[in-house]
Amino acid sequence: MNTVSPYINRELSWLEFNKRVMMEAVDPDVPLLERLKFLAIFSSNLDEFFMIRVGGLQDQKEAGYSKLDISGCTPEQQLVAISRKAHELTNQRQKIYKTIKSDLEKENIVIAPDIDAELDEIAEAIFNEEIYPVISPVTISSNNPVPFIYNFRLCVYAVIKKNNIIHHSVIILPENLQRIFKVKLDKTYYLFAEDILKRYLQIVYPDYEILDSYCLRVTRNADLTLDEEESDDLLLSIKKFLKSRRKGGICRVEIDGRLPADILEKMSQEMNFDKDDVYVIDDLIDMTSLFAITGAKQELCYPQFNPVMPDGFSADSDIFEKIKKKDLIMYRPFHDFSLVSKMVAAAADDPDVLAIKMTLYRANKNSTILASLSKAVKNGKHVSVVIELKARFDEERNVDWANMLEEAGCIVTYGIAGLKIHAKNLLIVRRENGKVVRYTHMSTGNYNEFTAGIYTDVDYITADEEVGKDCAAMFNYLMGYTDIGTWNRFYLAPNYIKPKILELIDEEIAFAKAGKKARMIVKVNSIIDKLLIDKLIEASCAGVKIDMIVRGVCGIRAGIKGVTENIRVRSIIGRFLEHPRIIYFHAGGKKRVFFSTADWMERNMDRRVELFFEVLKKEPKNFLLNIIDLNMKDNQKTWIQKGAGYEKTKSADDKLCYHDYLINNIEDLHKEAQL
Amino acid sequence: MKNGIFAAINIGASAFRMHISEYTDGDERPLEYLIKPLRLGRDTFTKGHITLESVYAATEILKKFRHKMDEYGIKKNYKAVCTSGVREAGNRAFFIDHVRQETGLELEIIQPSDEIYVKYVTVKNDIDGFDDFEKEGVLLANISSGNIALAVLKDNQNIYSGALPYGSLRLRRMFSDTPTHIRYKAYEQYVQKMCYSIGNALPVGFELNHLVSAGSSLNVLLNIFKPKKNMLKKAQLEELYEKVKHMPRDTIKSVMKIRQDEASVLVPTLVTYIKLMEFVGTDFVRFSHMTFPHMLSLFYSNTVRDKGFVGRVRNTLYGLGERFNIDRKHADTISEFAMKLFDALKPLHSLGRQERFILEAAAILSDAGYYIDTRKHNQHSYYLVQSIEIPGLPRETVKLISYLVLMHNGDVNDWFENKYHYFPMEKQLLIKKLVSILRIADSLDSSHMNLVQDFDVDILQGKIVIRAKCRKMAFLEKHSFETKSQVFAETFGIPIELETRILYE
Repeated sequence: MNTVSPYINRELSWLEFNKRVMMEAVDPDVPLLERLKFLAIFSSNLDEFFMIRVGGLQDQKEAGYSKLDISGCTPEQQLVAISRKAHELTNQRQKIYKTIKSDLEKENIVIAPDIDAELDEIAEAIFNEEIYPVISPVTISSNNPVPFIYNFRLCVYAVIKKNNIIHHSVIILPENLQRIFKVKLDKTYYLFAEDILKRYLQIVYPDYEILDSYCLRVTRNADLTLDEEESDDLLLSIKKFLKSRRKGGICRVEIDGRLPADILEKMSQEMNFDKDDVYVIDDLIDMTSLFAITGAKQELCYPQFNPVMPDGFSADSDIFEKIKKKDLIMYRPFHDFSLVSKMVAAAADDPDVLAIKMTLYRANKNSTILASLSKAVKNGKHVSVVIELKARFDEERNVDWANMLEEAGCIVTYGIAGLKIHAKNLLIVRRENGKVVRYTHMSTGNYNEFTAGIYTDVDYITADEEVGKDCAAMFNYLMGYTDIGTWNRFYLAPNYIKPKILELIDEEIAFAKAGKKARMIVKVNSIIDKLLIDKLIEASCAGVKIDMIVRGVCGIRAGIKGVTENIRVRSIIGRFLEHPRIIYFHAGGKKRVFFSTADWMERNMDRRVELFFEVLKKEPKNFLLNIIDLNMKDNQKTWIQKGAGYEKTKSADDKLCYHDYLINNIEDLHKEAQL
Repeated sequence: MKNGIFAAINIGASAFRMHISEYTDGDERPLEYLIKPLRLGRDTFTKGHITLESVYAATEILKKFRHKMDEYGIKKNYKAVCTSGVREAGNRAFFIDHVRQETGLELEIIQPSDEIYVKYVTVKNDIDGFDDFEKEGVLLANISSGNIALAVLKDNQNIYSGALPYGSLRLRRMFSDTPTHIRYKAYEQYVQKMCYSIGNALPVGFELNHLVSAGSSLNVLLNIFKPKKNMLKKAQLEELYEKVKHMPRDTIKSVMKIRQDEASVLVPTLVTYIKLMEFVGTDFVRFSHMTFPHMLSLFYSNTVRDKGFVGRVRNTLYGLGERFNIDRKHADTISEFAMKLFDALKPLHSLGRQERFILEAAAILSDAGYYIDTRKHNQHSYYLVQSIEIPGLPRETVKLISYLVLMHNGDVNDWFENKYHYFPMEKQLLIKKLVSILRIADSLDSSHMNLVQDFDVDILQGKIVIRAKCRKMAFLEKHSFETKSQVFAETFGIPIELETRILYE
């Protein structure tokens, strides 16, 4: 009997994922400024992790909730393990940062330099013009406790002296204060606001002696769990929540390593945080700001590339005519997502278009798609948008979108209470020769023209009647026009995806038991759903060969003899963020392939509206099979799970980085698919 | 219908449903089907009216349906009908008005006989072999939440039709205070009484052979059994009934994996089906998979037609006449004469096929009142006709027939001056035109002896002459003609004369 657990804790698995992101910053094949960007991504990810996941666990701990997770840990045990791992990663990040910073200096890019004579005059001008007018120091006394420090707000803690009495003062850097100032002299310098402020503290406290100053930053719990059933008006409740969100408990404090222990002790009492929540940072606190520097020098970045129009499409193509002849599959960012934007724009102007409907989870600023929707309304089209207001960190923006679209005359709805709408669908209803034709666009990625350039995703457009019917039924369901839908081709969470996947795995198990070839490839972002994991274990035990390509959280430990020995787990971290969910089943030789918006997590399967769709047409199916094949062949950006950790493959021979390959060869895949 | 998109909305006792179809050159293509549960029947069947809260909820649903219609540019190409949940509500006028104000939708109340007729026509087109069932005797049952509408058909006659308050939701509400474990017994007794009522309405010794069902109650059974053919067996329904009849709703819901609203009506639905199958003496119930709004769409878009309608109604009228012991020969004669007159006088009256049929129906049933009393038989005929319910025959048509049978005898002017003065002029004129013809046709067989064999109609300058060929001297006919033809002259402004010629003596 094997005693190693086949389950891995979700949070620790996520930290492992973020480590893989960070390790891109040490890959010599990655351009220097891109390496810096990976550090910024790592930091941004970690911020969110603390705010959401750690915050949530702290709530559970404080509420006395002691239910064990999939790996058998209580919330308290998880917090201890997270703290240990996060400290380790934070320390590692600092070392990597120092190396990159030093390498950048060789390229005449200097980050957070000492403000010497050369820079002094400029820094002082920045202080006087940008910083001094907007800061409000609070000197702590019995009447003035430590002020409330908002989430992620950087502070300068100053120890000052007057008349032999030592005072402590806190300056919270305002949200609207620019943090990085670029100064181009013989080299390009990036000055940080907190460094400038610390240098000119004497101006802030003119009658005081400045003894020392330190930076610190707090991360607060922002668990966004909302009980939607209690809210009559979801929109109002979100607005209300956004206001209250700024006052969560502290789950991390990043401090300057020089901060004296007594001050830290006093702060921890006043602000209510533990020793384990403290992260000592020697150098730069809050590396998310490094995003501002990553475009400093084009030759230190990834070479630019132009996404291509797919298979016979051009800027002037009659999209509807082409789609009617043949389903179209695209793979972002290698294919040009602007084709979808153009399709919506064409629909807005097309006198034959009756209606346009779409789901909106995350859109970009200046979205041309949303501008087209507004235009379509003006042109007399019936436009409906189902907006997900609870798209994490985009809530405020989505409320604004909702208002803008409503003002334009769109029918805006907010989906179903208790279910987050994660499916990405667009439906264009057109009257052609007196008949209604529906064009359906389905995607694993958002209608976001910015992220379409950095996430990999599948787009599928079809004029298939059955698919169009399902898509219309889905919108009817989401918009509250009907409570009961019938489906031909769509499998939708929360009710239908998981049972379908379990059924498909069961079929593979049956093939394996019958001594036939049984194989699955599962490409998802995360897997933590216990029912699905247990089914995979069952499949492995039955002899089904399973390859998992899991970018992020993977709650299953591969390769345990007699348990998961037929499962291999890999993760691809590269230039583009892996985002599509593509599932392959050998199915006795039928080779069934699906794409989906759903990760294999309880939240996706049980509490979201997600889509799971089988690609039946030969060409797009072959195209997806080729994509999966390339994923499996990548030997430059792939990490293989070993135990609870991962090891990077870095083949010296027959190098294949699948992102690089697709930049140059995406259209070859289309051609191969036609064979 | 012409090519285009048609929407049909059904506001039922337990849910709102909408079906949208595209029609191209006679082909139908369903585009959308929407369902929103809302139990108006719960209000209506317990309180007698729809609560304001439900009126608002209904309006919200219909606003969404309206949006859906706007999406396809549907403005007038729709039919929105309300069944028992609204029909029986005391505040139905307010409900309909509120919906009109808020959504622009014009709702209509559909009568049970019209509801069963729509289903009859569409089911007839949908179920193979229905024509044979119709010959052999079929009970078509529309079992919905509020009512059960029934039609018994045999030998191309509508033997019986009616709507009875036995819908599954109504039963559920009616016996909601009865303890769960014995509630099924109450359902059994109540539905048994319904079968007794139907049996009483059928001719003695009448045999039925088939049961065909339509109506929302089917959905729960289809969800459970998922039959591949359009047929459910009595044995499987009985087996299920034995399993669930003692169970409370929540247990049924979890055991059968069905929705709560379905669980709450499962037992009364099963009782109804089983009892009806026993009544008919069949082991099967056949059904159509079509939803009611889909049927409405096909019917009101004129995509399905009742080709045998006129013949069946005529047969049904004669069947009714036989029940009232009418003189069949006399009925045939005046019907034939009325039709001949109608056709010959077309240049005067300018009426169409529909009015011709009204005249024919009135000719068949004009003497039905003799069954009650020979005195004032026309008045007895009037109320007997008023009580007729024939699926497909609009209420207004039935009323027109009743006015004709009333006025085929007696003082027409008196009726209009004292009773029907409020009728619009057009309606008065229509009745007068048809009555004028009916009275002349009736006078031509006044003796009930078929003395007038045939006649010709000559429209001359200043008068109309009927030249009748008689078997014998037609004293009564001539006398009656003198009395009854006055209305004709007043209506058309031209005198009408009768000349008789004896063919054989």
